[in-house]
Amino acid sequence: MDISQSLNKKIIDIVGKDFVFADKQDMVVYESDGTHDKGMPDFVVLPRTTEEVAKLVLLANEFELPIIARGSGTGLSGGAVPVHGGLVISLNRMNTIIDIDVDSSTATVEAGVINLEISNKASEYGLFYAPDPSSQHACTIGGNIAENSGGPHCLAYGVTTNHVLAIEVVLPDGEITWFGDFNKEVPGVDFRGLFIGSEGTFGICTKVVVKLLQKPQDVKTMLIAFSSIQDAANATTAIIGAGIIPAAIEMMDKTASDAAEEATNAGIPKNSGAVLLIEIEGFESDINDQGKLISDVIYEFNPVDIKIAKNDQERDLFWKARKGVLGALGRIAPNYFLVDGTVPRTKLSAVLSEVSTLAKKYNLIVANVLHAGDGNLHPCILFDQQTPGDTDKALKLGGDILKVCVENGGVLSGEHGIGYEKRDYMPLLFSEIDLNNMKILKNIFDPDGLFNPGKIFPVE
Amino acid sequence: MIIKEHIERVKDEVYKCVHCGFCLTACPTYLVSGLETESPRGRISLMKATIEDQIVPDQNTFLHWDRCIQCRACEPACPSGVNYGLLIESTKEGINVVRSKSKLYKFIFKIILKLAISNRFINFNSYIFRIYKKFNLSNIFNKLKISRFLPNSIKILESMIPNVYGKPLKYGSYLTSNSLKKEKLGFFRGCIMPGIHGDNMRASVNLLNLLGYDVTIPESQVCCGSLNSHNGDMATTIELAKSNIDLFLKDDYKYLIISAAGCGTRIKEYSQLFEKGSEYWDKSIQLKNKTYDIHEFLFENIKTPPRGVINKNVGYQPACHLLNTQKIDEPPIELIKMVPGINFIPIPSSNICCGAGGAYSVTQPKWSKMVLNKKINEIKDSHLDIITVSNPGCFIQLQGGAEMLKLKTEVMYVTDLLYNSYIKGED
Repeated sequence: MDISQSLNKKIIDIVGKDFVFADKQDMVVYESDGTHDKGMPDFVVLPRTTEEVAKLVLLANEFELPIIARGSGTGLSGGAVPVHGGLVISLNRMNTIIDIDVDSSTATVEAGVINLEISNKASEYGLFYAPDPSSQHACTIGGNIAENSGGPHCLAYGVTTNHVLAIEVVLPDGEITWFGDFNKEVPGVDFRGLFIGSEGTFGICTKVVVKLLQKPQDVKTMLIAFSSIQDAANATTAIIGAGIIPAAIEMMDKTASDAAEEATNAGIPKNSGAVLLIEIEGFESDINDQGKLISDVIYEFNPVDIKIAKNDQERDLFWKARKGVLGALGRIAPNYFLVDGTVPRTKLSAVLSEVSTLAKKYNLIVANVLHAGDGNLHPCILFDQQTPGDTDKALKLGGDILKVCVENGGVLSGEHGIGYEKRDYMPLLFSEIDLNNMKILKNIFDPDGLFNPGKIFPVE
Repeated sequence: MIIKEHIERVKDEVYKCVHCGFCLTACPTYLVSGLETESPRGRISLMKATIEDQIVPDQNTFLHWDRCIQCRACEPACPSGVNYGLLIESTKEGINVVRSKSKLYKFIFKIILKLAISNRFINFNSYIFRIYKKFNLSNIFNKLKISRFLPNSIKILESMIPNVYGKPLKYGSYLTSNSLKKEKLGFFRGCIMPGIHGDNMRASVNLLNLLGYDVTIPESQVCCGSLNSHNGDMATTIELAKSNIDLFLKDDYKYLIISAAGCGTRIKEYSQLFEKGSEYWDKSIQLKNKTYDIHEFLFENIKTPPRGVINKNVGYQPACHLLNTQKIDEPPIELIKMVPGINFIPIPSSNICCGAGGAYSVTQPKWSKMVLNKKINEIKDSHLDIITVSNPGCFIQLQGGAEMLKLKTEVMYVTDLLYNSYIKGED
């Protein structure tokens, strides 16, 4: 029996034969995530319990096999792609909502629970879980922990780390432990904060305790069309400059909003230079005042159309258009390279102009989708992998856009993580000393470097 | 390679998929397994890998495609607008060609599909079911020692033998007594329902009569062909389609009314079988324009709602092929809400399939049952008096599930609920 066969047998002993894939014919479906990156696993395994995860980690240690945790594979930085092969641990069967504690407004869930399922379950008690990645109806909370995911409403609420109280993790030596605490700040080193956003390089998160919030009394959702992307960007800066922090300010340029409209028939005015989707929440009287203020502010930027969602259904439709826009771009080209650069809000207009100039230079279509309120750009570079040279061109353009972001005082990622796609741009932002310190930390957690190798850290 | 050729025919559609993963949680087989090989994105990845020669599909790969229920819930979930139905049909057509190389398979497959579309065989079957249920042979079957040694799938199939309601629905004309006489309608009979759900079908016809329409069920109609196309037998599908198109395009029928969602989808999508611009492509579009699912037709045409009060908690499980392909979501719910006294309670994941899927419950009993289990437990937790359905497959499947869990919830057609209220209101 060769090593691979004996390993296969040991894995089957842990989880049962129905939950292991070892045949490449099957594992092609686990090669990639939401990006165009690819890597063939050696094994894919779907454990049901934390203990099974720990056993698998010990086994992988014994056989010196890389370990890659995977949720729903909706990530946008290549984080779950096994670029060096190895054991892909898919947590999708660990999908139980263990407890909703209404009195302390918390939920305890397994890592494979779908983000939106938490809010669905909590809504019975008038509660919800705030971070709302656009893939929230498909992505898992474990994946959100790995990437410290954001979403449209993070403008007002903050990202994943602001809503997680405690996590159960399996460390690289197979030990099971908890970081954080259920209901209070923990003195000492904040390992919870350290782990969230470590992209599967420090261990595997298996359970999560999240904060739940009261659902807002009232919501108002506005869809505002402008004749140019600059007007929309300047309007965003002006709204926040006027001291208003809406729950969300989202932007889509012409290419993006037209595709979104085609996919959903949400009623987005076609051929607008850009549209803003603004949502405000709170008590009815507050909302009316805020709504009026926003209308006054944007008036100076020549809005060509303003739509206010008449009911929940229309509101959902506006959001469906926005949240499904990346997939909708599949109508234009079969592949996209999504950039996640974030810049100071006041630089939005200038950076968007540079993005447009770069797109022309490379002769590629770039659709811009932004969490504008956060200054988080998502220029989406459209290309076709089948066209020779196109992939390289798209990657180069992506790099140039990131450089522009950093030059304007921005960062490489707002919410998708560095993963595989952006690791080589890390030196743009961090000095050698910074990167070295990160590596020292990584070595403490994972001295053998088996956890999600090839991610975050640039290859020397 | 045959499979590759078949997938390449729909290559443009395959490459529309940007593998964002939004379809995963819309897919019933993914939801019960957590396995991406049993998800739409996974199945498309396998198609892509086949085109790109990364894999050579084998029997195991076929299984992943076979396990697709073809509920097409992934289509509305897909922001890229991938026509998944087209992909899986083309792939399965390829699989069928490969399997047909085995003479035994070809022989059995041919017989099964021939039988499936034979009215005589279906009528015969419904008599067998009638006798089986009447004499409670199920009890005897379960007591027999031999049943313990039968494979699980046979036991599952036995438990799903449907109840029979009333005498079969006959061909012919059903004339309205309503003085405000309107146009003549053609009625599509479907396969298994007229035999086992005779009473329910008559209620549907009566509803149309109540609205003032004369209803004709022509004997020369044939199977819609969906069973054949789901299983990759496109040649027979085209033959059946042409026959139905020629029949129902006649001026005798102002509209064609269909009460089975799968047949409705197949007939409304006949144009996919023909080359664009060809004679039958033209004709199939004409037929599509006068074809209505009974729920959308009733919803658009009922002017006087029923008056009979029914004080019940009622839920609704939509038929996938109404919801996902014909996009008929609200009409059945609006019909339910027309009935006075009804307290409508939505069930949690009503947009997810129940696992019936035409012949799926017979070809994939284990997976069908896994999907059903999840569904029926949700229905149990909703504490309903009645769960309504809009399609015979869903009816049989949910009734099997309800009996399995010994639920007090009654499974009922939306049209039956509506008709009961009309009858009650006349008293």
